[in-house]
Amino acid sequence: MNKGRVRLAVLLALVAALSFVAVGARKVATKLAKDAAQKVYVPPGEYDEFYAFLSGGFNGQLSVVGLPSGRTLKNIAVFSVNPRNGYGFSPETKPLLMTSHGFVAWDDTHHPELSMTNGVPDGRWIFINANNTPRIARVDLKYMETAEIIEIPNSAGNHASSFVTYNTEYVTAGTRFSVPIPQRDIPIDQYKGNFKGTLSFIRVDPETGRMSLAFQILVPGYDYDLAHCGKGPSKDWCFFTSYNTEEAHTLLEINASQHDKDFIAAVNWKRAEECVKEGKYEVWNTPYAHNWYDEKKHMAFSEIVKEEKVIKPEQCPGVIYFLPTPKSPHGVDVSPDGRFIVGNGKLSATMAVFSFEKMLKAIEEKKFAGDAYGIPVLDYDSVVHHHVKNVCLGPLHTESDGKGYAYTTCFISSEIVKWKWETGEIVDRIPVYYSVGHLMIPGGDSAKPWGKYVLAMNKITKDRYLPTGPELNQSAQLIDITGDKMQLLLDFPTLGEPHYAQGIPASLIKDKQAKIYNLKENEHPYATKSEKEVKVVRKGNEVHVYMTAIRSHFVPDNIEGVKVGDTVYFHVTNLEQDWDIPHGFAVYGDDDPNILIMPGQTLTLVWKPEKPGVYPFYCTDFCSALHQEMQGYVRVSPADANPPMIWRGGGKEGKWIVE
Amino acid sequence: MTKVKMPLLGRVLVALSALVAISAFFFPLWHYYLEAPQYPEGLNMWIWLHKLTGQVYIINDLNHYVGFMAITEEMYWEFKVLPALTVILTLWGLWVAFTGSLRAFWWWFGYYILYALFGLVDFYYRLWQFGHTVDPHAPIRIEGYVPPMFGEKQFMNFLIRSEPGPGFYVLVGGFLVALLALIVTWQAGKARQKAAA
Repeated sequence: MNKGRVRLAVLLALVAALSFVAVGARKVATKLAKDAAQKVYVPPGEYDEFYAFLSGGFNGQLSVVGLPSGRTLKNIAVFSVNPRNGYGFSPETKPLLMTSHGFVAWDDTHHPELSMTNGVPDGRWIFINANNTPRIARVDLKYMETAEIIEIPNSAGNHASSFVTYNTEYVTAGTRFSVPIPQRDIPIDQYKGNFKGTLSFIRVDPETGRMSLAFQILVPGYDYDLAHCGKGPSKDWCFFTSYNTEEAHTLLEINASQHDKDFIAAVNWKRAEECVKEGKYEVWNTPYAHNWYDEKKHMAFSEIVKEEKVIKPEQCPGVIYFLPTPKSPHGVDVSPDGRFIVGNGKLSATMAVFSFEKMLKAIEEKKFAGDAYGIPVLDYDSVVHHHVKNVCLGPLHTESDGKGYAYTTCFISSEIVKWKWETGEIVDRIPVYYSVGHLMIPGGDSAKPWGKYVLAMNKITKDRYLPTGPELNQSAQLIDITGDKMQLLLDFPTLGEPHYAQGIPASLIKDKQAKIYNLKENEHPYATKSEKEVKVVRKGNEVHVYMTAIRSHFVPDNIEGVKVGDTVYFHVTNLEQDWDIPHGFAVYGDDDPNILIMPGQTLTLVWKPEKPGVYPFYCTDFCSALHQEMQGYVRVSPADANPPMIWRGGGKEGKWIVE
Repeated sequence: MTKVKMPLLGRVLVALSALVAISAFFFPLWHYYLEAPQYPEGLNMWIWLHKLTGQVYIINDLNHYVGFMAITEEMYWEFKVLPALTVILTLWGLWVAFTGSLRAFWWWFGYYILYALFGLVDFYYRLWQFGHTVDPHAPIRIEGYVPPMFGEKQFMNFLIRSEPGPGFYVLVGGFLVALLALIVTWQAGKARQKAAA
């Protein structure tokens, strides 16, 4: 047995023992706040104090949850299709999911982060990354819908993403699974030196939010895991953790756990901007998709961009430094004042807290311990501020309460530990059930946390709720952090697997929520803004139905003239202008899900009938007392038939327009 | 013999009244408020001299269940005539003030009374007509119904409240100023008669 295996065996034994202790001690350890029920009870008709946005991991979505109640308010499809409303199926939304690999309808969403002004969440947009096929999405917080998706070229495993700079100048992306860059066919065991990663900065337009890939920094082939950008004094920097500095390509579990220290990459993005200005970059041509939703046209567009600026660190000295960090660090978090950076070394019981001031000094005095592929490695002792000793087992992530305290999750020992940023003194700990991953304090990674609650997002649920077969929802726990002692308030199941979340006071968002789409401003090319404009148009084998929906009828609701072999486009405009009166539309035998059309919106359902017959369609959203009557029929004739091309509806009859 | 003219104060008051009347263009005359279990925030409709504002589109959509007519500005010629009558009221008033003609003043005052009566009676007639002109094929059939002109009235799931808006009070104010002009003019006349006697 080699040394590594012995170490691993000891660690696994420890994990097993501790899990056992944690589960066994649960009934004793669950100490609820006496007034827990009162603290999380939101009376009927009243609102939660905070919006929380939880990523959904493998469901590719973003959940909107109210806190402290834990009620799910909405689930936003981002990197996933949504049968609820046809997102990813309708021609209006499909372009959002285009990539250089074609239509990719699924991904693994991880780290939502709110846009910020002066380091404080401003409630305009929330960004979220796709880990599998590297992408970043922008969700508009007025509509709470996906507004834009940009693909990240020259990357794989987009995990160190999507973290936002102090004034939302940039959103980060980082390569977790280093790959040959640019991609090429080489043996996997030639990993070392040939595989690379990139740390990318996506520019965000301050007015429109529109994203564009500003530059990518080419870095050694480590696994870039998480990131956070600086604040205040450190606002021009972003920090990325890495593991697998061993550059292993197989059995990473062991082979990537050999070094006592891996790195935090400190990137000076202002310096990168200078290098771009001075032309110190290469132009590469890896194609990537850029997709956006036009809210006036109610339609998404996709384009392939074939140019990106790549900065090689040796051509731009001062853009990146490595901070040695114990051991395979996971999260990297910055204190609200921007002075401290903590590396949560998931295989170490000690956390290193770095001083930004010391880091700058060490850079100035060139206190380097060497270099890695030409990137200076800073001398550990010159940059460490202090160590949080014996913090716990498996520290992963840290958030702040704005009162000088940090809260760190510990996956292995299944707890949250509270400690002081300045001194590293541990002041409290609370067990969580079970194996907590991320945690979230509203604004807890910003310059101004609203330090009232911490939300623990746990990876293992087991016996917390009524069992539901082998597959269980993940579990979150809400903890009161207003007193000296953390107090557990609430358990609630979550959708997908939340990896990180963001929270913001409801007052900053709720009043600017869109209630309808203004029908007058609807510029959808197939919009039908009144029943007078209804028509059916045949263009060869395409049939375009310009349809309206209003309580409680469609116009037209009888369509004859469709033939087998036609593709029918139902362009349905919801004529309502009243809040919360959507209409749904589905047709018998269609292989796409229904479309759910918001008031004033136009959406399209595509249908390719295969057999002659008469097919009903209907409204799928219970819209009114006469909702059941909101139905209609399409007659489908054989391909060689010559049926009359007519429509009825709204007390009228019309003939098709044949183009 | 020179013609007897209005006293200066009376003329000023008539001018003032005329100007107050025209300012009614800037305020809604009447307000309808509808509340239902599904509409705790309420629906509003404001009737102006020359237009309709508020959630008329939504109210019309709801009205179709019981077969009420869709309310539109085009449906009512009053939205063209009332503004004209109001402009006449003001221009005529200003002319009266300018000339100070006693005779013209009496006519003008009479016109103001007729204008007000016409507005109120016509409004009530339109409400009655609205409630009695329903589509016989509507999904829900109702018997003759008149929306309230003043105060509250329950109709199906809606509580409907109707009340005069600021524009109405502006016109009432204008009329009161005209009345003041009348009193001043009348007293001046009396004083003149006394002096003559």
